[in-house]
Amino acid sequence: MYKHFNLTLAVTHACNLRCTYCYTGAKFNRVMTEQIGHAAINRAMASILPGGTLSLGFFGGEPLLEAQRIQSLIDFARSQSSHHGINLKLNMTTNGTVTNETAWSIMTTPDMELSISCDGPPHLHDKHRVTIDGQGTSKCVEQTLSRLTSMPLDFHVICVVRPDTVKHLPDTIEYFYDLGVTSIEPSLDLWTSWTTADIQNLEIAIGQCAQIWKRELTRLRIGWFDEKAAQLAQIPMESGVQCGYGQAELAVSPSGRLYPCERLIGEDVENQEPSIPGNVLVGKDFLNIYTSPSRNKHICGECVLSSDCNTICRCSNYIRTGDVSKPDGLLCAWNQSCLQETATAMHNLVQLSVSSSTKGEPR
Amino acid sequence: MNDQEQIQNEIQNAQQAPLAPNPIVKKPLWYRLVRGTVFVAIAGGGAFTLLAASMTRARGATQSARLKWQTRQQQVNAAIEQNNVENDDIHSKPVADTPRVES
Repeated sequence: MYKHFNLTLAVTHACNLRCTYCYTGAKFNRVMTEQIGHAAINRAMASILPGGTLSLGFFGGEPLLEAQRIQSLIDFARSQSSHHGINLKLNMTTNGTVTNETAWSIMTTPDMELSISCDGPPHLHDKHRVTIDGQGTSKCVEQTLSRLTSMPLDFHVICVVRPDTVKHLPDTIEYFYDLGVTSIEPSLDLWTSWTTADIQNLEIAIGQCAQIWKRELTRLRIGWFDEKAAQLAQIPMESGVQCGYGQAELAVSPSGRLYPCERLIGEDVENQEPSIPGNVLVGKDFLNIYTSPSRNKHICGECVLSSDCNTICRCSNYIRTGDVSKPDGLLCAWNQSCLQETATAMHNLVQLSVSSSTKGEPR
Repeated sequence: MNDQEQIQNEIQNAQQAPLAPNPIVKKPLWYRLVRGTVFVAIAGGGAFTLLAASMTRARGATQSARLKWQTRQQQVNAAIEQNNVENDDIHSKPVADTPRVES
């Protein structure tokens, strides 16, 4: 039994956008039935210790195309969590273009951890995040962000970073900050190729973004650096909540197929790799249904930074190399650069604060 | 070549030729200066509250990162409390190598 369980429901495969870098394959309209959604929630609840927590996420496609279904599943999860004495946390990632009344109600649910996908200023966002007929969506998403920032709620912006946009990442961070966004989660496009020159650009951009992070430390969260700060501070982490990848972490597709991570649902066809054998409708819980190897010690074992490195994420490793235990040069360089820039920024802050706290003290 | 074809090519290229990781075998200076000492140093230096405030809102993009962060947040809070207790203890005791002045 788990103390925490991460369950992601891909409530629909359909999407109203056609982002050029989308990794979910051909678009079709397959919606998760209530039966499948309920079975997933029930099996997750049966895998959690009393007093534990179910983190229930909604993903797609564009999940808010099925806003009514999401609301119904939230209502069901609340009643079940109350019945089983399990805490419930909600999260959702949306493209920010579906803003009807029900969708807005879900986005602003008080305990909903909301993430909006936006790639930055219009000239960057509209390069890839377009409608079915190829129109940019920045205007609509910007309106959503403005509306959200005017409300007393926290949300995150997820921005995809690609070789053709990486140089603009510092400007993108400033753009979001000017809009009033206070939590930014850059997300590398792992499905595309990164040349050595691209990786060098990434490292430069990370250095520039770390300077912004340091400057705005109390006001702006940038996921890459906040996480590294915690790692450097050696705040211990419960082993059970590290990359679960099928253990205490699971994604269910609209068809009821099971995947170790929501990023791997893809087109959701039969016998797709990697998936977890079976279907959500068969079984009572999610205990002992899947195991996978952890990071290959022969590849990273001698690296002195390995304990602070996120190449333990098996999903990212799989996307990059086809092997969950094997990271590639991009993941390695990204982690090392984030770690170094965070450490440097923190060291400067420590020196600054020590020097200001000792200034004027009698000798 | 349209965008979709370009993306498909990029995907194939990425799968064909992943760059190898580059393990670091000797601890860099920046790492030795900061790792493990940051928590105490920042706590002692006064910037700790800044970092803690920043961490309060922090969560990751993926669910696993989110859970990881929530756990860490609880641990940060516990560490802050522990640090406060220890600081109180330190301030309430005479320092060994400091001459004590009795009034």
